[in-house]
Amino acid sequence: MPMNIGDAVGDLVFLRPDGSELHLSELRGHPIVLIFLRHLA
Amino acid sequence: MAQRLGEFQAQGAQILAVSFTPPQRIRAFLDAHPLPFPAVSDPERKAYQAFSLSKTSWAGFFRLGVLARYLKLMFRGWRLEKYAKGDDVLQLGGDMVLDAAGRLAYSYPSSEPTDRPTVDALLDAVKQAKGG
Repeated sequence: MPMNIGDAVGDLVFLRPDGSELHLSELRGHPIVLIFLRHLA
Repeated sequence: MAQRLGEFQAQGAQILAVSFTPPQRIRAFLDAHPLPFPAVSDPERKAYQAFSLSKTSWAGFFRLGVLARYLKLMFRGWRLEKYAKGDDVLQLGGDMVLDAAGRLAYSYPSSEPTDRPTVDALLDAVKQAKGG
C-alpha cells in the first residue's frame, strides 16, 4: 500500500558503511531528508 | 545539495543518502569521494519499496529526453561511472522529507533516471515539515 503524506513512517533499518545498523527512529526529533540514490557514483 | 547544506542544517534537518549498494562498497566509495552527509545502505531495498520507488524500463532508460539530460550533466563535469556487479540501472531514486515525529511530509519519487526535485523544493519541504 503506497505511503501518503502525513503517514507515520515505520522504523526502517539501514546499514552504515561499517556494517552497523542505523534505525531511522534514531534520527527522530529532526526533519529528515532521505535521498534515495540510483547508484553511488 | 552539498553546496547548500548549511541551509538545511540551519533548519535542523538531518540528511541521509540511501543506496542499495552494499556497505563495504559505500565505505570504499566514501574513502575516495567523501560526502558532507551520511550515506547508508538499504541492500534489500526495503525502504525503496516502502516509499514506492519503482524501476524504469529499458525503453524509459534510453528515452531521448533522458539521454539529453545525461549529456547536459556530462557537459557540466559529471562523469559516467562504470556500473559494478549487483547494480541495478533500472532502479529509480527519489527524495523524501519526514517531519520531526517521523511522518512523511514530502515525497518525490523519480519518474525517470534524471528526475529529481530542486534543492529549493526540498528546502521548502523541510521548512514546512519543521513548522507542521
